[in-house]
Amino acid sequence: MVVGCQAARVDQPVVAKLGGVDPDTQMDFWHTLADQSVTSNDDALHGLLIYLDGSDDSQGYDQRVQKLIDRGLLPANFSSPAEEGVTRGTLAVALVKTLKVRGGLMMSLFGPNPRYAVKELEFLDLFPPSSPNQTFSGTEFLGVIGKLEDYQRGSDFVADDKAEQLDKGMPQPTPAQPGQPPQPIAPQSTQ
Amino acid sequence: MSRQRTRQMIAAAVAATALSVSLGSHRRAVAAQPPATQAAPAGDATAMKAKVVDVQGSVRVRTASDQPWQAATVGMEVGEGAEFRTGPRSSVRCVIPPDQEIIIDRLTTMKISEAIQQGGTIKTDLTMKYGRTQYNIQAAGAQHEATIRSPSSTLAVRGTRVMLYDQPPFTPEARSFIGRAVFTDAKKQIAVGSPTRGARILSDRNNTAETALDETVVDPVYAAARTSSEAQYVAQETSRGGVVRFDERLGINTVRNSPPLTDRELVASALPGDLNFVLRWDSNADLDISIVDEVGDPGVLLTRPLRNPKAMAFAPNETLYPGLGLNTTSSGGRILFNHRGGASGGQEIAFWPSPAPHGIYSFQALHASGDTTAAKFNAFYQGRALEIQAQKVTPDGLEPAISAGVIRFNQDFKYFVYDAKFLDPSSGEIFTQPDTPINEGEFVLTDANGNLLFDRNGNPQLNSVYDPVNNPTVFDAIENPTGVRVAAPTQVVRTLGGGDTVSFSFFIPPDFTIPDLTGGETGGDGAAAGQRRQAPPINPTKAQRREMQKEARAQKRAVAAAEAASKRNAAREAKAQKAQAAREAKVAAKASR
Repeated sequence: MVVGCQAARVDQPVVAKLGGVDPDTQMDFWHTLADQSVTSNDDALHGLLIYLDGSDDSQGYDQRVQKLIDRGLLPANFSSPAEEGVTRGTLAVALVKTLKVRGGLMMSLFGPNPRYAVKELEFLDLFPPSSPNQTFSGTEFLGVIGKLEDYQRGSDFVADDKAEQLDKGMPQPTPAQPGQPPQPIAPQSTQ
Repeated sequence: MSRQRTRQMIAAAVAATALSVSLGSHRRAVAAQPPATQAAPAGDATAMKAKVVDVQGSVRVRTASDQPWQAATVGMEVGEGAEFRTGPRSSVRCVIPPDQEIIIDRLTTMKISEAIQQGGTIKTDLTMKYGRTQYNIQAAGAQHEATIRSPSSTLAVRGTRVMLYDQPPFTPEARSFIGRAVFTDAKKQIAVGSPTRGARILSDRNNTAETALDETVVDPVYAAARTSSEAQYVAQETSRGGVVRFDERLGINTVRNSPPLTDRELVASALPGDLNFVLRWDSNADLDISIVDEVGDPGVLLTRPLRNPKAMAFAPNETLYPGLGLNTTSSGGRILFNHRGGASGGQEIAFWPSPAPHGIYSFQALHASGDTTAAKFNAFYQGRALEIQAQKVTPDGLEPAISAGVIRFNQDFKYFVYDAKFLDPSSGEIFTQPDTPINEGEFVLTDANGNLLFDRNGNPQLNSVYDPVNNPTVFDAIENPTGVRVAAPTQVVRTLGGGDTVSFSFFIPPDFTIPDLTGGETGGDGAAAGQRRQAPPINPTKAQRREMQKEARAQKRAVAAAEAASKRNAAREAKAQKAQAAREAKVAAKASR
């Protein structure tokens, strides 16, 4: 008798029914995913592409995987099935590459592997204390995407800033561009 | 059933009926304060409507659970039972007149479970399935009983601005920005905030103090490695009311709410470096200082042969910026924190510790956000203020008196001076010539020590010493006919707003010292002060150019001779002093016997 562990799976990813590119379907996708007990690879990659690009017009799981491999967010040998629960390590590597997080000593030396990518995101408060082999529930995946957005916009009080601006009747300030230092202004002719 | 199990069930029942608990405590709190309005007798409840006033991104709403979702639009009104859901990078703001405001942030599902007015009391109950919701009450007026509930906690509103965040897998969090709120979960009930200050609590901490303590971080830029002046500089920000936090995304300490130093304080304060660039502003804005520089002898850098003759002579190879890993440079430049402004403005300082490297520095300021503000620029080297100047010469006999502005170069080493001011010595009038291009032969660039970097033909001139007493130069004749050295401004003020940037250039050549800028008359080539010299031609002929070059070479030789003579004199004097000291020692020894 062989005893072992099996990765969590879903019967059918949410994206199979709600994979459309229109805003209504995308909204349904996010909030239907929130009710799932496990986030599958297919759903996670679809969600990541929607977040990064605004929409995902991939025709299937294989296309999504290839897209993310081409962008360097997934390893070239990624071969997990669509229905299998996404591992936190896999998602962490994609996120640190997306955010261009330099990380600490180990990640600088060895690159963003799942273990250190998870540790780095824990430090940045984008992940809860995790093992790279754990998966996410649907609502947890939404939480991570939400934290990712908070991190990228540099504040978790955008709602507050916007409310203040609307109160004053002022236009919203031009958002700062994270990760972009000002371009050096070398002396130049204006003639 | 064990006693422990019984207690757990009771605790769960308490949490599940948090509404009644919060109402009870609210009644006690209300009873302790004079009522804001005369409470009318309880009558039929009046349903209140929420109006959508702002939609960002993708937001859906349905008026009841059995109704279809529809896109939320500005102006839409919904009542009790309405449910909102938001997508990524989305939010919606609703108001419930007269004074309530609900802001639903990204990836949130929130339902208005109750929104009624009963007599003089307005009752609002929001149920958030997950996400982040903020609730504001604009002003004191009618009595409010407001609660935000999530699966694991409840936030009862006592103050005027609160936020609840509950999103697995992260710890639920409640904030009270203004006023007080009561946070309840399965284990505890805690008051968050006070009438005069806000507070924050995480669900896994016992109170707001523990939450605050957990957020305290040790400066990851190795605070122990700071010099005493750097440490003092950081400490003075907190001593003047600044709030210092570490921004994990920028990777640098951020400071808010500490006002900038006044001019007097700036002069008297211990600046942290040998070379300091100081940016100060006085309104609620976030300005960022930035220095791009190239280390080396400016005279060499600006005259090096370039492959592309049209390329810029200044090729910065370092960037100093408050954050993103750019707050230190390999040449030693540092910025210790990013000041995010406040009601009184702020300041940022970029500095190089001693010895500051020679080079060309471009001192820049970027308006990142906030109000349009006046920004002051100062630079200090070895404790003395650097002139922010350019000098302009014209054939009309005008003297540069006060000048300020940005120096910009083009590939032919022609220059522009912006906002330069000039003094007409005959009338004493000071006037401005903004944005004036300077033609060849009209402009000479010097450092603050009077060392020429280019002559008036645009030819590079190295190690040329401006000595109006002993070695008057053609430049001297052009630039300063009266021989009066006039102080140049050491502070420039510019208005920045809406993403503006401005920059100033500085040259720190080898053996750079800052002269006394208090003025003082020096004779030109023996002429009495006040005597005007004849200005040279703007576009000299070949012969005239040859003549001027001959004179320049002669001056160079004279300078070298003067330096050599000076060295010899110094050596002679040192020898004489040594001999004198030896004689005195001999005499003293004799006397002691």
